[in-house]
Amino acid sequence: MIAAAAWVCLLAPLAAVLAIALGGNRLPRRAAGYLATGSTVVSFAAAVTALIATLGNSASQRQTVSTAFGLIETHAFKINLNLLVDPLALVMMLVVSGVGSLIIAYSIGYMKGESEQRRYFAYIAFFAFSMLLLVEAANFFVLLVGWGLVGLSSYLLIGFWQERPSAIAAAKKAFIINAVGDAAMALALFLLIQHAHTLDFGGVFGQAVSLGQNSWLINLVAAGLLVGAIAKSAQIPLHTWLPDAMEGPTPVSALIHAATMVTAGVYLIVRAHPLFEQAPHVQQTAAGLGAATLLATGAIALVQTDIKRVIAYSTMSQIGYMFLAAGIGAYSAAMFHLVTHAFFKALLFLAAGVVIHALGGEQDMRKMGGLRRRMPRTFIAMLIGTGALVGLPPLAGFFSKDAILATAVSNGVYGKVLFAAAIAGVLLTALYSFRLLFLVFSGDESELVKKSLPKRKRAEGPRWMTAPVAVLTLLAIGGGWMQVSGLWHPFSSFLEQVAPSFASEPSASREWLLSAVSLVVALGGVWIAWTVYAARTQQAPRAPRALVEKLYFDRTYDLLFYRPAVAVAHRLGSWFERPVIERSGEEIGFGALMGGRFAAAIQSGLARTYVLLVAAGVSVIVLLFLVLR
Amino acid sequence: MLRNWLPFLIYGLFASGITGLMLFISFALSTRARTKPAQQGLPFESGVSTGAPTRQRFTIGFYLTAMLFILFDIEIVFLYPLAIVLDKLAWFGFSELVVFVGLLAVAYVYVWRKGALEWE
Amino acid sequence: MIRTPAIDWLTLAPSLALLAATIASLMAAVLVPERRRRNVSWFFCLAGYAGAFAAAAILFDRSPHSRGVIANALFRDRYGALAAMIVAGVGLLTTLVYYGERSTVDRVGERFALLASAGGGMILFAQSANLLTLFLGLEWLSISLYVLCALERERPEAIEAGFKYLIVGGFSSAILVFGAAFVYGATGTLNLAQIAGKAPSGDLFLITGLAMILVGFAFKASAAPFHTWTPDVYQGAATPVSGFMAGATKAVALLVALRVLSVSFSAQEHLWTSAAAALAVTSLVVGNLAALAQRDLKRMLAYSSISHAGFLLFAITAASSLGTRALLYYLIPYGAASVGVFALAALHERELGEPATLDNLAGFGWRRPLSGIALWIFMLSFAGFPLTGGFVGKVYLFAAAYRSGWTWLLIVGAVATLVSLGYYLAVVRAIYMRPEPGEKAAAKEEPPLLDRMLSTAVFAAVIVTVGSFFAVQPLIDLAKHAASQLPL
Repeated sequence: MIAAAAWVCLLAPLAAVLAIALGGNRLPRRAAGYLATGSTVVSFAAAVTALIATLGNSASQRQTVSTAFGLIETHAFKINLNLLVDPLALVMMLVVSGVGSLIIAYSIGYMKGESEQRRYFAYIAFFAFSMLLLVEAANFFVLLVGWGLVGLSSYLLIGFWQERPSAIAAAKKAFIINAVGDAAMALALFLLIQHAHTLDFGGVFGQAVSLGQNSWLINLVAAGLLVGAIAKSAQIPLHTWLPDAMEGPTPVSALIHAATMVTAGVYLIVRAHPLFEQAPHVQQTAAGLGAATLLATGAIALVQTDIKRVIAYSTMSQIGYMFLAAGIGAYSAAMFHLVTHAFFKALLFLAAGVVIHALGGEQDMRKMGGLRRRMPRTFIAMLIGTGALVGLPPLAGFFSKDAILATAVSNGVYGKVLFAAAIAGVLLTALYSFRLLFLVFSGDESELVKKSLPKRKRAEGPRWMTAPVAVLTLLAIGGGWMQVSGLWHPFSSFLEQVAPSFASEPSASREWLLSAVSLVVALGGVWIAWTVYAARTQQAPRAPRALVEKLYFDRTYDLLFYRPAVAVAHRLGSWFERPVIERSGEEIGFGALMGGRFAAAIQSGLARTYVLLVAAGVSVIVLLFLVLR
Repeated sequence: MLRNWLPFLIYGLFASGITGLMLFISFALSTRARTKPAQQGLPFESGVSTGAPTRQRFTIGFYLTAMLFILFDIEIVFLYPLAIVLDKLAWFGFSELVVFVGLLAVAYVYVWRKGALEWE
Repeated sequence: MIRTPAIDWLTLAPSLALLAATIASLMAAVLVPERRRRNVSWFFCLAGYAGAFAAAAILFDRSPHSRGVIANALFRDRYGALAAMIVAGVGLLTTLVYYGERSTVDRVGERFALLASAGGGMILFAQSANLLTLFLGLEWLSISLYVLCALERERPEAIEAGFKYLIVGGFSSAILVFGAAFVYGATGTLNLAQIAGKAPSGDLFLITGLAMILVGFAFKASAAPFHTWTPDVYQGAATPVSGFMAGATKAVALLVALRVLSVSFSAQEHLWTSAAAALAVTSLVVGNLAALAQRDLKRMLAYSSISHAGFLLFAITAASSLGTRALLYYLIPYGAASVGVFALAALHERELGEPATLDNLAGFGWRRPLSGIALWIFMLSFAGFPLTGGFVGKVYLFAAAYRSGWTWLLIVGAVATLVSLGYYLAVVRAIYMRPEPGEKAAAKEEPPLLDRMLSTAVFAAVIVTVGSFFAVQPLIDLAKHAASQLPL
């Protein structure tokens, strides 16, 4: 039952991909959208079925492994194509298929009129399949396959508007940086094969202790996985691809670059926590990188002018929180924030998409303004999303973010440092997110708004777009209530079997106290944003050059890697490739062609020649045998 | 060592002997004009050949029927040894016989329906 | 009383199914009205192959131990059963492709009878446990194929192909039976399992016989220098038949060769492994180089099949369990891709009314996107690219050769693979990257020929070719079970 649901959940989007791809032009464009949406709805239904069935089992028996067939078998190790359904996988399946189906439904409205809708929906359904494969994998090999496939579909979707050079460049950048992470992960897996002789989660984690606490081996393995995780989740220092990835269509940004794929790194750390716990330094590094990312990207977000880039930086910053939590061992807090983040970040992106859609593709916030009156419902949605992001009660982010803050402060000196970064991050979050809100929605209507939205025109897009936004708004409001500190905690007790948190639990009173502190900080940030961007009583300070330059990461990489690589390639091209390789290719080809003419020349077409050749062959072999015997 | 090769020698002698004999016989028995001048000396009478053609011509139908006859005839020959031991083989032998004749019958029906037995 | 043998019907079932199909379609060819003749005899042939496949699968399941049955005339084992399944699978696809082949003479019924008959012979050949049944199976399949090649007697190329195949094939069959006679002379037995150990390993007759038998197999597998018939026959025969010969005949020839060599001639292993290595190298060199110079698609594929004989001979050279497994595995995607690629060649020919060449294939990939992709996949599988079964097969074959110490053979194989890219990718280039000649633009107006049977066969072939990459392990397990029954 559970196994069947898992397979249905995984394969439904793949079936949609095949149907769209094979249907080709015979399929109406709209049908492609319906197929993709329908398949993810089926996935969601299957995931819910699996959840109900799993909840029916006792807490210690909530793991189901389903094996399709063996993929590779050698004398040393064996890899099966198998799926694992356990609480952690279920949470991810529900998020991916649930949020995914909403966003794909939204795409039907967003992509209307686009001539290549079929390609879009095939890609995005393929993404859903890949992501589900990633989260349902029961061994590291299948996980890596899913990992690579989500990278591929992300690449395809970022570059969806292939006539734009900037989109192609962004797609390539995303792919290359992710390839670095994939390679590091693959190396870690090779080490596991060599030393643990298995890639099954159960087998590897069972041996995690015997591989040696803090040994070089386990540290290398954990480090490799961590590099993969930070590349996929756009954490410092491999974060530069995500802002550029906003070149893709907005629903793609919502689904892949906010709600699901970029959180895969968090999922990986939580999933592989037995390995990370044996390599505490690596795990602490993850927390430190998360803290650094949440500060740096929060700061950069302050000076961005592109509406989607602000949200993209905000995404990295929020994933920084999740890394922080996972790094100090608060797995259920990390996963909880992952879920609520998926709700409100998808909401923010989709609402931003409504705005962009209404303004004819304009993304520069400086040209917007005063949209509050023209798009009241979108404004409310955006307001709720922003409130959830900042962590205002009673919205979703409040519960999940404060859980992370409280756990951090209860975990020693390192935890206190992390807490300081996190609370500073709260201030930054409040500043940049309300800056966005005020720039876009408050004030007078700008020229652009007047021009693109003539009076009395329905501005908020078709139902296909508004309905998913409404659903996500509800989720952003109520999503946090599934776990309230001190009152109930079904979420963390559900995850407890898979990923028992080792961070010391804060007391409920401490948690509420910290909530109050962070709320005060957040409200302070909101107030500053209000005075500067809405009330305009204060002049906005000049943006520091370092922030505009995104802390020089892109420039450094350009100088360190790109330019030397190009220089070396040019040198090799003129010194080695052209004189040696190209010429030798010509020579070999010519020689082979001559040989071919000769070989074909034996083919006289005369049966007697053929018989003669057979007879000669027999004689040679007989003689050979007689000599050799 | 050399004894080992003796059968090969005998075999080789036989092989070349038979081949040589065949070549010789076909050479000896072939009907060719002995000399060229004799042919040149023939009188020319308005394109009509003076004698009957040396080679007898058969219709293609003859070859077909003849070949079919040989085929089925040889198959029937197989029945003789079977008949001799049929007693000892009992039903097993009989069923083999039926299968064999059945297959022949299929071939016969095919040949017949295909019209190969019609004499046109 | 003469002791009569017990009949093991299950072992016979695959070939009996095809024999019955032969009789039924032959009778349909003369007894059914002309209008429905094609359909009826086609159906019998298809049913025969499907039945043979099912019977072989059951036989595979129920033969965990190898043993001789029916007075030791046949082996009942998984090795033979898997070979039968490969033959039946290839035959099934070929039957689908052959349905729509145009005919200049009234022989639509006979073609299916002969196709079924050839398959029956191959299965008997693959199961044979003594030299007599082996020769019987060989002749059964050969004679069916000779006639099948020459069936289109209005086409001079077909007559030429059939005639050459008959002459050269008859000659090599004679060599094989002559070799069998030598072996009998040396050992006094025809039973494959009893030949080993009956004579000193260096016995003159035995060795001579071994060499001649080896040549007989090499001929059927079209390994150079016994390949000369292949290009002419593949080019002249009806295109689906060429696919069948490339996929099935070669497969059984190599499988039976491996069986005979390992069961009966284990003491002479050093001889036949060297001979197989020599044949492999010759085939790789001749096949690859000559394929480069071809413009005609079927002729190119013929040379490609010669070079594949070279690769497949690696398994015999390796003379190990791993090699056997590799051979059995590789024949599955190879057989599918062979039928598939010849099916596409047939499609192109039927549309154009002239032989497919690299020149007139220009634009094929754009005119028929799905067929283009399929052709592309088959080419990649032949060349041994990942995501196709050809890749895994080649890796296994190379690994087997390496394990048995044939490192230099590996180098030849790698170079040959590299050269083979030259002509395999030339096809891909031809169908996508060449401008369509102007006159073809007119043909483009007409809706492309749609043949559901052929499309089904191509689709199934693609599934097998690609699926065997992803489902490696189940297929390897099959091959492993079968390979474990050879004494290697």
